[in-house]
Amino acid sequence: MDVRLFIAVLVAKIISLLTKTFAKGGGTAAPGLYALKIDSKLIRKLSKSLKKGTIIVAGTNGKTTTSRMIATILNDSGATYIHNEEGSNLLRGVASALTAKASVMGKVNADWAVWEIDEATLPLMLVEVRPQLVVLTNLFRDQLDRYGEVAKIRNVWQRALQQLGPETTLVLNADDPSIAHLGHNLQAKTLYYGLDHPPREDRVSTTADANFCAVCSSPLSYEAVYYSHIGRYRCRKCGFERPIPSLVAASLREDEDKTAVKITTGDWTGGGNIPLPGIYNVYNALAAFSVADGLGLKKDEALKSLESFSGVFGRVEKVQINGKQAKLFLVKNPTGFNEVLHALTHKGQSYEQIVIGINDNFADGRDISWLWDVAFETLGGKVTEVIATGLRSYDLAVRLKYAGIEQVMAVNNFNTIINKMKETNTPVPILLTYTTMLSFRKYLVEKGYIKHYLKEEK
Amino acid sequence: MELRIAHLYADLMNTYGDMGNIIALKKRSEWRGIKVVIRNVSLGNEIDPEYYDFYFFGGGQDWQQTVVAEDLQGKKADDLQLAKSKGAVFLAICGGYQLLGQYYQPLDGNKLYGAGIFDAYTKASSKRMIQNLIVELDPSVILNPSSPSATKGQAASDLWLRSFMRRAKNLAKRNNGPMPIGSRSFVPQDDITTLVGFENHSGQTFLGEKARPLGKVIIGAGNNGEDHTEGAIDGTAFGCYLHGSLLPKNPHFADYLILLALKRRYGEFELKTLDDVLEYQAHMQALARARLVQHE
Repeated sequence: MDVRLFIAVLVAKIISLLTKTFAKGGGTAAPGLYALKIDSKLIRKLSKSLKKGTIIVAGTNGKTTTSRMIATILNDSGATYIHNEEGSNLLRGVASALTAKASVMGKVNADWAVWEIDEATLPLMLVEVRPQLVVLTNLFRDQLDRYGEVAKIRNVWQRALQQLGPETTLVLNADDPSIAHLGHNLQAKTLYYGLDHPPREDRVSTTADANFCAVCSSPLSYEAVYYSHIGRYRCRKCGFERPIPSLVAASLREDEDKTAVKITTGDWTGGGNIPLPGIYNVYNALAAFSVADGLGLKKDEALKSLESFSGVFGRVEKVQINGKQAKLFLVKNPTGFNEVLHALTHKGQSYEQIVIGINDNFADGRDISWLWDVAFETLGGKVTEVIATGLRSYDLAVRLKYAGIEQVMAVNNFNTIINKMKETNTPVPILLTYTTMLSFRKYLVEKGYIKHYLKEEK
Repeated sequence: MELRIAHLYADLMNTYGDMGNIIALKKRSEWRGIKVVIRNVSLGNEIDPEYYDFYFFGGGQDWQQTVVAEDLQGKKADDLQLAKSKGAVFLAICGGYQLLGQYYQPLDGNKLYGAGIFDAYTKASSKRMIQNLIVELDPSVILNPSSPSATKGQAASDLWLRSFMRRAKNLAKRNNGPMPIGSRSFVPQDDITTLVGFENHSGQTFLGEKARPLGKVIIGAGNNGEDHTEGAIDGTAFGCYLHGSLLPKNPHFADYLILLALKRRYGEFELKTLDDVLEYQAHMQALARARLVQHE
């Protein structure tokens, strides 16, 4: 018997029990944090007892949604899984989820572990476990103060991925040149997914991070740009180009809250509705579908699972407040933010009110410069009034003023925001950074508008 | 009247939201009826040193800076120096600031020569300076040099800062209610002698004799984290490590630069006053947050 592991799991379980009894919400990382202090090899040891193995999802945007989609597909296929669904995507979050499901003898009773992993944590995680599948969604600038520059993350990942052997399959986004480039010179197998779609933007966004070739640093030329630097690209100088994806989504029809797609792989084709808005969610669904394909699950059933998917905390969530409908969106970085703005406005929809909250706590990123990389100009003429809130409400208000949004009001009080909502007749989109979302949800729980602080409303 | 802006390497050096500076220069000019021309001057493009009033150069990622450093050699550096000698205004931030200096010394390898606009050089270091950055501006950069805080040195400015913080706090308290754009909470522009922003660099910059600091560091590391200086003034060229974006929430500095740039071709005149209540509220909020976060 492994005494160290035994004590670590036991301590984690006790802490978990105590925090559940005495603290409301939060505290999901604490059991794992202490368990790892007792046994630093805990993740390695417990992961070995999984019946089938580990699936890891990493990338700047879409990792929560993608990993939840994978979990839904696994669940519907009859497999059991554990998942760090309550948000901590560092090693301690993984350790918390593992110890919660482990017996004190160190056995985890599940087929699969599905881990959403933070960009900076991915290399550490790959030292601990040899996953069956690693899904890499995309790389955008995000919290440059925390993660550093995109090229730096790509380099660190590359070194970590080179340690993987042929027992691992990488599921890679062919349309993101940074991610596609990671598939070169590896022992691990690769499986590419991508979109077949007409150009959606005239050119690569001015703030794109990978519009230059990862091999030779020349500008990439694009046959089609879908969003930011995502699309069909090629380097004229060295010949680096988008790999031909084996899983393809085509014939997209974008609606306000769903997108119709046709997915093709090999000689199989199926059509369905992804019940979330935005092209970025098509990528998330396609990544999850690729995992199902990689695991040899039935494709028709995997697609059916995706059609029944019900959203993730803070990522497009409908809430009734005083009889008015609010839609909550989590915003973290310019690319994600721009896609939310696109989904809100591309069909000519307009709003009486939009609420946007920007905090600069550690988890949001201390640096709010990125607000100037968000194309708020697209809201021009589409919104009567924007309510700016959060610890950096005035930075946001200034940004909106310079984007030509005339009616901006800074309000640093949730009661006032809710009262102002009463005046509107259209649904109110509420776009919040991570800690603004947490405090707003806490407020909504206190006022009885929603029941759970961390789980979305069904 | 027309303000001609060259955005240096806009396609490569565009990290950390520095685009906001271009937006601020454009909007603040247009709101005053001044026409604005903005051109991207990038790899292989020639510069007409007579034409532009203003050169903006933002921050970039490491490898992009290597490509840009190569392109900046020779004729381009000469043309930029000529433009500066004819009174064109430069604003260079972070990577742009480093590349317009004398040289950049990497941790290993050869010196990367800069365009020589600033009498300053930068050494790579292994510590990353990432935090809010608050700077007390050099008195020469203050639009109204008769304001008390601009003349009485450090003691006065400390006193002023304390009163400023008190006002920021009171404002924050009052702001629990709605505060629409254009509400009349009074923020006199002459009183603002700080710059607020966010720094994210590992290069340490040291000034030579011909350059003087843009200001004194109040919170953060600034040029090098050692001598409490931040940025550089070298003639009409201004360099600094302030992202944020810098100009939108430091409108006093934005206007100082716009005026200086226009003087090159239009001589002495005054800029129309704009309603900057929101901008100065953002300035105060940034100042208050920097104070708070510093101790977290």
